Amino acid sequence: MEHICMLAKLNLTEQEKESYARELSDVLEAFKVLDSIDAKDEPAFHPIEIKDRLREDEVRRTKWNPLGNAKSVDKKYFTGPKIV
Amino acid sequence: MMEPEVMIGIEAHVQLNTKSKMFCSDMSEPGDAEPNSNTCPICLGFPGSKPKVNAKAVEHGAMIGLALNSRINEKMFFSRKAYFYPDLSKNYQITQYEIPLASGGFMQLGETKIRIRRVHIEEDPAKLVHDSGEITSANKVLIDYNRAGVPLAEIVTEPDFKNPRQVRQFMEHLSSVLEYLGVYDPKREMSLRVDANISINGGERVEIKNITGFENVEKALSYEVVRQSGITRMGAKVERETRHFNAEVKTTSALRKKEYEEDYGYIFDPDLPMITLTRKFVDSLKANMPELPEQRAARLVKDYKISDYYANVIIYTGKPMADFYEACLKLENKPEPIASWLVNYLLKSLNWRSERIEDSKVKPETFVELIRMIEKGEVTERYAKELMKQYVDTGTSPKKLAAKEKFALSESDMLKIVREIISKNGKAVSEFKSGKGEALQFLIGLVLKETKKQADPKTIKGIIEKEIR
Amino acid sequence: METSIRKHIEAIKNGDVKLEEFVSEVLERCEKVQSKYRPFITINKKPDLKKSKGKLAGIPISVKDSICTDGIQTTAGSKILEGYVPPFDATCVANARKEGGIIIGKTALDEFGFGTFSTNCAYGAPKNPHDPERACGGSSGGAGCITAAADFPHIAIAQSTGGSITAPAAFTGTVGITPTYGRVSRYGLIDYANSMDKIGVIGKEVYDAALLLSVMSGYDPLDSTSSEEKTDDLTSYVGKGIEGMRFGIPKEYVSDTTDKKVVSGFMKAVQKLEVAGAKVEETSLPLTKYAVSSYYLIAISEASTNLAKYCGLRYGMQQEIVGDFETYFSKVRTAGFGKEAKRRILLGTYARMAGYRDAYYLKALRVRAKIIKEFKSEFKKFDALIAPSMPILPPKFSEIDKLTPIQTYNMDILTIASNMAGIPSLSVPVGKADGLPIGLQIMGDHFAEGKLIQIGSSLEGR
Repeated sequence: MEHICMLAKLNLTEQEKESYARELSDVLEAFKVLDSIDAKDEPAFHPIEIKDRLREDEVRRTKWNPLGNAKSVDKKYFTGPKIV
Repeated sequence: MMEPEVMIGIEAHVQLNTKSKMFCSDMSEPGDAEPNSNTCPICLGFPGSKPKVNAKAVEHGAMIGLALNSRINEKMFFSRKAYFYPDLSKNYQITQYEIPLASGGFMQLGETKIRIRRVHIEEDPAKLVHDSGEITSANKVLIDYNRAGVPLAEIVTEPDFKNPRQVRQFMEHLSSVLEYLGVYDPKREMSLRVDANISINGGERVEIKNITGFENVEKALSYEVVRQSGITRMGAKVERETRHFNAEVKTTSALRKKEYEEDYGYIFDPDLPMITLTRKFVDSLKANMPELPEQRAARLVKDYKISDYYANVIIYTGKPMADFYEACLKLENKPEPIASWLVNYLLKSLNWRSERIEDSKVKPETFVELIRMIEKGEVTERYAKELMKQYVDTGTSPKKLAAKEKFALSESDMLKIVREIISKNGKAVSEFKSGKGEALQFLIGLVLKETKKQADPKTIKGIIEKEIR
Repeated sequence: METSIRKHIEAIKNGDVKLEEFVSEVLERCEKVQSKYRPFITINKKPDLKKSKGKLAGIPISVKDSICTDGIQTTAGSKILEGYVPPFDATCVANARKEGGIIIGKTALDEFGFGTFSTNCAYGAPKNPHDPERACGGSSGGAGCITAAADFPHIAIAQSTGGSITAPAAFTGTVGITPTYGRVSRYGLIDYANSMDKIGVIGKEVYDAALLLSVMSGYDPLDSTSSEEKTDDLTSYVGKGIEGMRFGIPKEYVSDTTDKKVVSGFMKAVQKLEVAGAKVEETSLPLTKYAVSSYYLIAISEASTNLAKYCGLRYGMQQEIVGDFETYFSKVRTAGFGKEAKRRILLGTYARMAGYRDAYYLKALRVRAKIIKEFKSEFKKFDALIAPSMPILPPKFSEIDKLTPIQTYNMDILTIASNMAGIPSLSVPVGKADGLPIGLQIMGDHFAEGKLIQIGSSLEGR
């Protein structure tokens, strides 16, 4: 659970960790029903087969304000939290 | 002390020079554009936006695969590699995991065969600027997404390198191949980056991320060999970690250690389709592949009978140099002298100016002018070298330069001087006629003195002999 | 005020409607409905009336708040996108605007689509107009609510991943159409599960839904999963009759866990279909028992990556930038996501982890392939499959609080397989029990929306 929280970037209280862990294991138990089916079919990534949707290599500029929804900007940069 | 047994594998990331980004229509080469001016909701990961694959990037990737003798997979898929980082606009990178574009290739490096595990395409993250300049002391990061979404090809090798020098050679050769394929621009900053994994004597693997510059790659790895050997000699174990190369002090240092093991949780990207790379597509690519450097070098040797050495220098200086050489040959079919002067003198002048041929004022028309002058003996070799320098500096036609500086002697000037000497030195002439070789040398010497050593002795000899007979 | 779209269109054409006055009145009524039942997260107080020409000219349209609207706040029902104003329209919204549709507001939903009752909306759950102590269904609860409660012409743009159009349509007694996956462009839809998200419609009548769906359908080059299948005027299928059609009722969909009152209402409607000339038989979809698990595995795997981008950078909830990125991201995400969102992110992250993904995620993709094959073979025998839309009548909020996650997920049992298979379905109200609406759903083969509209319209007004 600790590890999953780290990967998912969520802080949980000890209480929450316990209750989510319980719920998670219930749900995972329920998923076990899939063990009883033997599926050798090709995985269906989409309900309908979708292939070869490609875009021509052309430049098209977007006229917009990318910083419009940001609360923290520095000149024309977005600011973010440090790395280390 | 025994030499440590070294194992190195690398992942090279190349920015492909398509016109637009990998999944959206912004420019692929933003240059010095104002931060965040080359963006759109897609590469900025705005909610609701969706990617769409750039067909040219797929082509480029396949060409790289073919050039590296790989097998092009018939169906390829994109995957999401999920991890959190301020340079990832979606906190996942669209890349290829399970089924890449190409696999199972190799590059021959002299005696060594370096196996290529896979070639795949993916998107570049954004650029992070640390507000205090160094990664370890900044308070905030400044993020510029102009580069986010630029198409990258990733080339992954097996750990077949046995020493850092081999890695450098590989990178130099790879860079040439990519340039000749036309998928990469070597002048573009940071367009070729390397992550290297190195272990010695079967110990833990250390990863060094994001090294640019072939010299730096060799230096970083050499440093690691020394560092890791040092650790094991003390009886300690090398830790598995990720390090970063500091180009200024030429050492590697550990990036902050994560408390947990990253798990990228790959899924197939459900916004993107399966891409089929049909037989027809691959065959047509093969048929239209540009000449690779080795092929072109071989052709130069075969067709023009120049030495392997000259051919290799011309080819591996870069494609513009090879194009320049062959353009010269179209104007003046003298492969050997052109190659010789190019390799021995033109390159020196360009290097002295830190200039590349395509950015310089040197043009095939004017360069062959100079060669012709040299061949005809209108300038001595010594003055030709002087002339070369001036020509590279100014780009002015060598003929004009020579006339200005009086570098060249015209044929009629030469003839005048020779005839004068002959008429004044009847004794030497008759001695020469009766077979005394030194007499000729004497006459040549006088002409040389007269022309203030500007003329070419061989040419003088020829003219004297002609006149006397 | 007339609520019939058909009559309203006539009036607009005849010039009987003064647009500005009309819209102003509509917005007032929206405020009234809002204070009673809370269907909206944002009401668009200054809609653009300039371009009101086209198939949707003068028609008020609400948009589920997971669909981007240029210049109008879009939250996906979550605090983590509070204050986010998209700089572009979703393609479906742009299409509606182009045809003169007037965007009156953004409707409430379960956060990011995670839920069956719209109780996971961070801005308050919409209340059922038939009984305000009961839920509207979800996740397009707000859309169902305003459609039912509106005393003015209106059609809702809604969205479904596992049944989020059918559930609110059934619970609010309205018509909901979930089209084929890829029929309507997903560009601008805030993603839940990209391989299963579909934009659809909720309307008072089949005609209304068919009209809006026709305008929104069609190939969009911006969406790589958008279908190139031809579209036609779906309103032409309204009232065409069902003589000679063959329908199947999957026995797994009418089980002892289905509320008896729902079954009774459903069977009465089935009789009407037979009277109208259709043949109805029982059939079976044995893979139904694997549907919930495989759906959720795919959904949470995709959703947990889709939600990674919400971390307090560039848009939405942002806090003071202190600490390193792991600290900051975790802080914002913990504050911004609700319980169900966190649950799905955690579950999805787990399901994707190396060592589990083959057993879970990849297996679920294979099961999906099987379920699609099963439906396809059914549609060789039947024109459509019919079933109750939901296994229960609209529940009280107090009852919902007592449900465990698994019990909630199982509420979707009747819609989840068809949604996962990407086949279209239409839910139409077929009566009431205890004053609460009962919905009947009609499922068809890929791209058979026209047929569903034909069938659904035959059940209307009886």
